[in-house]
Amino acid sequence: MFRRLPPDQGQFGEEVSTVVKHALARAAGAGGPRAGLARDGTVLRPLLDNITDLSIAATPHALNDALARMMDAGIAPHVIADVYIPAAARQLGAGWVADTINFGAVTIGSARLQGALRRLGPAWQDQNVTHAACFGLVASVKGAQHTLGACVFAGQLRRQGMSVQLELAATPQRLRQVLEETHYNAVFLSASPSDSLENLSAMVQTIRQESRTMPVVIGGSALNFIPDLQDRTRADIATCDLEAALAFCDLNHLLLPSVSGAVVPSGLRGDAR
Amino acid sequence: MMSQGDMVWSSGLIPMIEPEIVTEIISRIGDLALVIAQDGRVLGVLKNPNFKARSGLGRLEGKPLTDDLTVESVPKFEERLKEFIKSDGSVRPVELNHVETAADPEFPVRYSFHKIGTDGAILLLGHDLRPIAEMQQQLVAAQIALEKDYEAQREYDTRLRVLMAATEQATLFVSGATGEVMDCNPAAATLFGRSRTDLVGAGLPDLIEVEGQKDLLAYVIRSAGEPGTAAITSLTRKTQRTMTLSPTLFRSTGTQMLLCRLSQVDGGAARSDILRDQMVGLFENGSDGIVFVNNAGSILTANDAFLRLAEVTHTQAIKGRSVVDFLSRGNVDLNVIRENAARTGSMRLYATRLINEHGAEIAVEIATSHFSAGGVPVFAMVIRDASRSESMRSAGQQVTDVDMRSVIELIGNQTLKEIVAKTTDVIEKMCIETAVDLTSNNRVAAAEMLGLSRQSLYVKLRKYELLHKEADE
Repeated sequence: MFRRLPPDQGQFGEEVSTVVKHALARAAGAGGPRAGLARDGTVLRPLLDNITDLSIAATPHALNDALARMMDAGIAPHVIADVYIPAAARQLGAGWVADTINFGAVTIGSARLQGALRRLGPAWQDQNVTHAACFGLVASVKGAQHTLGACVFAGQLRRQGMSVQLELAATPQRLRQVLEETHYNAVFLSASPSDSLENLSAMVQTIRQESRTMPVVIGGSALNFIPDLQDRTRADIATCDLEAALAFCDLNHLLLPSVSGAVVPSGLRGDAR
Repeated sequence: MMSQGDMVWSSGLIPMIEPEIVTEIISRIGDLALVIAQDGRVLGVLKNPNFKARSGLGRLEGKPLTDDLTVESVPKFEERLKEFIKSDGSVRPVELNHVETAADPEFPVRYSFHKIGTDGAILLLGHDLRPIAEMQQQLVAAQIALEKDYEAQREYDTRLRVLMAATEQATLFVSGATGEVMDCNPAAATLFGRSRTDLVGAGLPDLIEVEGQKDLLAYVIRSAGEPGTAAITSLTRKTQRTMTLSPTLFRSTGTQMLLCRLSQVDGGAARSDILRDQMVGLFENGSDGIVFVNNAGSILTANDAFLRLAEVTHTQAIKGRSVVDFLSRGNVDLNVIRENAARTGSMRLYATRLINEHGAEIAVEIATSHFSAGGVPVFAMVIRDASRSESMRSAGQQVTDVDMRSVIELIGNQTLKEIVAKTTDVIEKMCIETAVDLTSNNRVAAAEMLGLSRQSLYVKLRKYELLHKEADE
């Protein structure tokens, strides 16, 4: 068990501490990294490993405590939501692929990560409730086993100022009902490898029936396994990149500086349950 | 079975088993057994008589196993098969999903790999993971239901925020237990002259006071609980404005909450325009002096900041006086300001000196606007203390002076080598403490984060006495 000792009370402790703090601040400030990310924008691997381990740990609150410590240390909630949580989910998936983690543990870990995302959510309430720039629909198909990706993406869109409706496990009938009630600037479909291509295509077809001009973006971990997902579902574009998706929908004027471009270490791409 | 005291099987202890019985035994060890060739083709399928297999498993014979696996399971299987063939026969079991069919849903099986010594054939012993998969499905369904509830709650939260924003009356939600403001609307932020972020978490007794009531929170709760009680007259602490407070007591998830609605009572009609309130807030709380003068230069109104600049104790002391009394060049200043502002509507950054009540002069910059208020032409002067910015720059230097003093103290009393060594130690200790804290006391992760070996980290933890052995370790 680690514990902190009281600050150095030696003769020159105070002067040294003052100088040290300024020196560290200067070193960090001179083109230093954003808190919680490496200089090249990648995740800090030990932090990521810690989050992944704690998501499947026996202690249920260990993950929440670790994330609270990260925020106390100055790591922004959106860095955790946009980078660390999805990366941890992918790491769980990679663990399943390598059979170092069984799928029961992966399911529990994913559920805990999604719970953490929900707790971070209030940090980005819809900013302009009366003057939202545009409206987006994020949906996953009925029977989808993976919901984290859709939730992460919805959060990213909300932080960009978009008013987002999130429809998880939606049927074509529900999608039609939602599209009839509201005009959206774009529909974003979340797809995972276990989703039926038939269901995904049916969703795209339903959207086309309601509007020929509304852009349909399909993305998610399915892209790692089905490179021609766009053609097979007849979506307008298949991408996991927020900037590319918004640019395609002519909504990139919304983009704020974000961490969406942060790079996850290679080898972590995989199915995340 | 024991052999020489070790719990290991040795070949001599295993009885010779008839082949057909071996098949029976294998079929009962797991739920499912597949014999495959090294190219992944299924040679035979055995199932446990108690296993509720799905239909069509027998049709796998002769076909590649990958034909019956889901897309994400195929690379897993191929990778593990390759590894097993290369290995000495010891690889991790693999979890594979068999595809959904018209008759049966997708089903997961954990397979262990075994060499059976016949032409390279491989035995896959499978354990049905469907019970776990069913629990997983329930968890996923619960997760989706939770997300839908959360989305619905977001909608209610948004409606509440819109309602709060549109409400012109200052409104606070206050905890009945602690008296802390839990939420407020923009009108309340304007009223108290604080941002919403500053207001949330502030104590109600810190914001307002009620004459004769030491325990404000208890009094407000009591009043809220008594039907027919009139609104409470209160004073805002900061600006001493009289307000009426109408509290409503309610319970939310077992906790007591107060809805407090505040209205101004200022001798005039309540101001309904938020912008007007904001301007009043600026006038009353701003750090720059603001003076409204008529065409003749007589002071109509002045804010507290002007009184402080001019070192005037009370508003009464400037009543009826001309602003000329406070300008170092008197009528010359006033004429310049008046003529320019009247001609163009405003005049920016006129530098002059202000004379306070004691005759001292202060460098100021004056921005003046000319407009009509109630049919009367008025000049509004915003007077900024120009000397203060100089003293702030000096204060900045003072901060640096403190830092330099630290360095000078060090230099004067220790060698450079000693200073650097001490500084390095402090830096090391701070970084180690932060890394350990950030990784929730995970020594492995902290070492990796710092680019140290675990042993090196351990040594440094001991050096800085950051290790604490529990008595029972």
